[in-house]
Amino acid sequence: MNKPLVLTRGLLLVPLVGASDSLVNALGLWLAWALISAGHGLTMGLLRSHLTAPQRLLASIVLAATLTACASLVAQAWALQTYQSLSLYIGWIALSCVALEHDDVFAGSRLPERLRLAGLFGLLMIALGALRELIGNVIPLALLAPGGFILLGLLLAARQAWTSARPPSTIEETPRP
Amino acid sequence: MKNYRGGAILALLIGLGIGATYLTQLSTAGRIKGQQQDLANRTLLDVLPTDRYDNQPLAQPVVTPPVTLAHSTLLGGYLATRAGLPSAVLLHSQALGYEGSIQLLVAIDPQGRLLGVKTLRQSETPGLGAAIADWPNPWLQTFNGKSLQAPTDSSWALKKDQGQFDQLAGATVTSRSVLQAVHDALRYFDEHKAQLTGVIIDE
Repeated sequence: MNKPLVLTRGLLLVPLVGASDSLVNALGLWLAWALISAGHGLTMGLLRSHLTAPQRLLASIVLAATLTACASLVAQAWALQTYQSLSLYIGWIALSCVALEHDDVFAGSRLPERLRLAGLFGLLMIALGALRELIGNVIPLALLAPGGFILLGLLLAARQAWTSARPPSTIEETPRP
Repeated sequence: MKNYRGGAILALLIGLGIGATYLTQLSTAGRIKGQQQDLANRTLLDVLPTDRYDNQPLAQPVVTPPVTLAHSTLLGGYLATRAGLPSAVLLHSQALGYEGSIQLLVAIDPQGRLLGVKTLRQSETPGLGAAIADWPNPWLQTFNGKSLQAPTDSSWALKKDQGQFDQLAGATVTSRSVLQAVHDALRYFDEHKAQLTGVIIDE
C-alpha cells in the first residue's frame, strides 16, 4: 500500500540534506513547500474528476510550475538572501508536487497521510537545521552535504534505537552520537 | 465529452498560469532589482568599515575603464567620501589566475595605504587557490596597511620570489597574480592620486 510513496519520500531527502544548513533556510523551504503543495493538492482535487489521465498530468505540471514561479518571484522580492541559498530547491518543490499528485492517483487522496508526511518532513527539517547550525560553529563539516547525511543518519539511528529499546526494557535510553 | 471539457479546463489553467506568472513578474521586477542592487552594494562595500564613508561610493566612479596595468586590468574605480572629504578609493581590478580571471576590490586610503582587499569573482582550484574567496580572509589581510613605499618595490613579491609575503599553500600562481594585481592598484593610485581623490574638492 505504501509503495507509491517511496518516490515522494526519496525526493524529500534532497532538501532534507541540501537545504537544512541553517534553521532559517530549513524553515523557509518547509513553509514554501507546505504552502505550494497544499495549494497544488487542493486545486488538483477540484479538477481531477473532470480530466483524463494525460490531461491530469499536464494540468499538474502547469499548476506546479505556475505556483513555484510565483513563489520564487515573491521570495526574490522580499527575501533575496534566503532565496539565493535556496533557489535550487524551489524548482524541486514543483517536482515534489507532481510526484505527490502521481501518488494520489494510485493510492487515492488520503489527507491524514499527507498531513503526517508534511509534519514529519517539517519536524526533521527543523531538527536538522537547528542541529547543523549549532554544530556548524564548531565543526564546519556539519554545514556541508556529507555532514547533513551523517547527522540525518545519526538522528534516524537514535530514533530506531529508542523505539526498539522501549518494549523489552523499561529503561529509555537514547545513545548519544 | 470528458475529453473536451478537460481540454477546455486545461487551456484555461494554462492561460491563468501564464497570466499569474506574468503579473507577479511585472509587480515584483522593480523590487527585485532594488534588492539585488542593495545586496551587491553590501557585498562590494564590506571591504570598507561602515564608519569610513557616508556617500554612495558606487555612484561615484572616478576611473574610466578599462585601464590596462602591468599585470592586471582596472575595471572600475570608486571614491568613498566622509563629510565631503575623500576617505578611500576602491579599485576594481581583474587579474589572470591559475584557472581563469580573478576580480578583486582593492580599498586604498588617501595616504596610499591599503585598507583591504576582497575577492569578488574567481574560479581557482577548490581547496587551494579558491581560498582567496573566503571572507574575512587572513591571507588578504596581510596586505592591510601596506603601501607602495613600504615595503619597497623588490619586497612586493612572494617569499618564493625573494619578496616578503607568504603565499597561500599550494597556490603559488594564484597568490602571485593577486599580489601583483594589488601592487598594480597601489601603483596606479600613487600615479593618479589627484585625479582619483580630487573630484569632490574640484567641484
